[in-house]
Amino acid sequence: MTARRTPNGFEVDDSGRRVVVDPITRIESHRRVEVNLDADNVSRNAVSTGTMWRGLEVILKGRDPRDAWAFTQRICGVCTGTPALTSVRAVEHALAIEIPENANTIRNIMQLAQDFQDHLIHFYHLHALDPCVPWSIEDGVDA
Amino acid sequence: MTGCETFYDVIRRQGISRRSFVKFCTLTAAAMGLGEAHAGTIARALETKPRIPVLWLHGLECTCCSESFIRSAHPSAKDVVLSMISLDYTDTPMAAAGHRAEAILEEIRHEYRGNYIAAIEGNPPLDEDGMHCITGGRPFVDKLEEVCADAKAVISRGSSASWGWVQAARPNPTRATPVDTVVTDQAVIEVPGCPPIAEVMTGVITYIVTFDPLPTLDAQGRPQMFYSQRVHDKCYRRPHFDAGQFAESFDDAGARKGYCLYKVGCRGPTTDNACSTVRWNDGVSSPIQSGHGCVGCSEEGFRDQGPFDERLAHVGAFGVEANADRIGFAAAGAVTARIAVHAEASAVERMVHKPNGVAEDKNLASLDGGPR
Repeated sequence: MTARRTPNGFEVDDSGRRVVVDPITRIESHRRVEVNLDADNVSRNAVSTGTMWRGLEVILKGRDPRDAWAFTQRICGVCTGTPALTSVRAVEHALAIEIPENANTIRNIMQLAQDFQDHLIHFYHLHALDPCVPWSIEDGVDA
Repeated sequence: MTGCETFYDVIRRQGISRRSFVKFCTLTAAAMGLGEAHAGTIARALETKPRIPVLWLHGLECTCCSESFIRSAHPSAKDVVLSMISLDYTDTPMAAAGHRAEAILEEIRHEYRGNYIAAIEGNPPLDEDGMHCITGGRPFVDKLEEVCADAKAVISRGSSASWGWVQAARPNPTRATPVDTVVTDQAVIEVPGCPPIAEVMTGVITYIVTFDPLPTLDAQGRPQMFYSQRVHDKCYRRPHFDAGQFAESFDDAGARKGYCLYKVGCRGPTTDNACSTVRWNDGVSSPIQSGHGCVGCSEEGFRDQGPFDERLAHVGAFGVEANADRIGFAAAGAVTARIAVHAEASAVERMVHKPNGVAEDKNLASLDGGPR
């Protein structure tokens, strides 16, 4: 068995039956999953890797803090409002800005509306296919 | 694959009546601004032409283009994906994963060589030999070049694919590059916007399916039917602009009365898009209608033109109708006219600008001093 350490500290090896699913679909962005199955078909090692990097942290440096939301919002187009709201709170925290109670209420309504639509999208457009079409998950690449 | 079936065959099989089909064609013709006579053309095309396979690739992106697409109302995303085209590959709402997904890509690429549409969401990073975006175990840029080489048409979906957008913003750490810089031997239809309006995306596909030749493109490669007007032209707050009634900050009396948002950074006058007319979520609202100015997300280079809450051209207080009209008039036109706007605005600024610059940066001042 040969093993290799990934840059983020995970061990990838070629023991047993190695199953690779790449690309993982029905998620935002790009992902690869590797699993090692033993003789009893039990997974002994699993590594999940994000295979895309855009460097938004680098891009945000030196920008006007009022624009941060427009950039963090593009981390994920499925849950857009959440990173935007979080970045706005981070900026306000850094600058010790207190917001009025009404602003907080409006933000909570927006966030809950976001959660609501996000659950519908996740279930009906993305994850529901997994229980419906099981072959799509278990059928990886033997390597 | 169902390459020989037509749109009409498919919807009839799904139990949709002839009457509903004709209604759909009429609505779609209206949505594309084509008039009643073209409803027949659309109907004939959908009855006779085989469904086109579409391969939808994802590079450096956030999936907001797909999210927008599934909210299309006329035609609905369901009609487009399940009936009008044969959406054979897309990273997001596709059942298959791993090698099954990659096999579909190869199959379509070989069986329909020159007869499929490549829709690209996001863009390829070129630094480190494309290692910043890996899909199916190899750089996205390789997949992009292969798929586009054999396509009938390439659609750049969204500002990422069209202009580079957020990942290409200063300092562009991954050297994210617009699709048309990499794919040079194909006509690339740019459908910018972050995300593009849903009806614009489905409208472009309907047009290609119906009329076969690609839609008329403007100098920047965008379909003229959706990008020939500025957001400003049909903006419902336009009368306030013409009357010199502006919101000076987001919580003043002007903002509450729905005055023009130009002074708090609205990019409507320099942004070509259909937001004011088509709007979003089945015409419910648009960014300006919800109280924030247009950030110009469909314009090239807008990412580095912040702060978004400040005017692009620092025009002084010009709140009289004559000047506002002159600026509006100078702005009417294409890209070159925008330079004129800046010149005009600068001239106005020189005339009215106060020497000590007190009017500057109200927003920044309020950032330092407590609640906004």
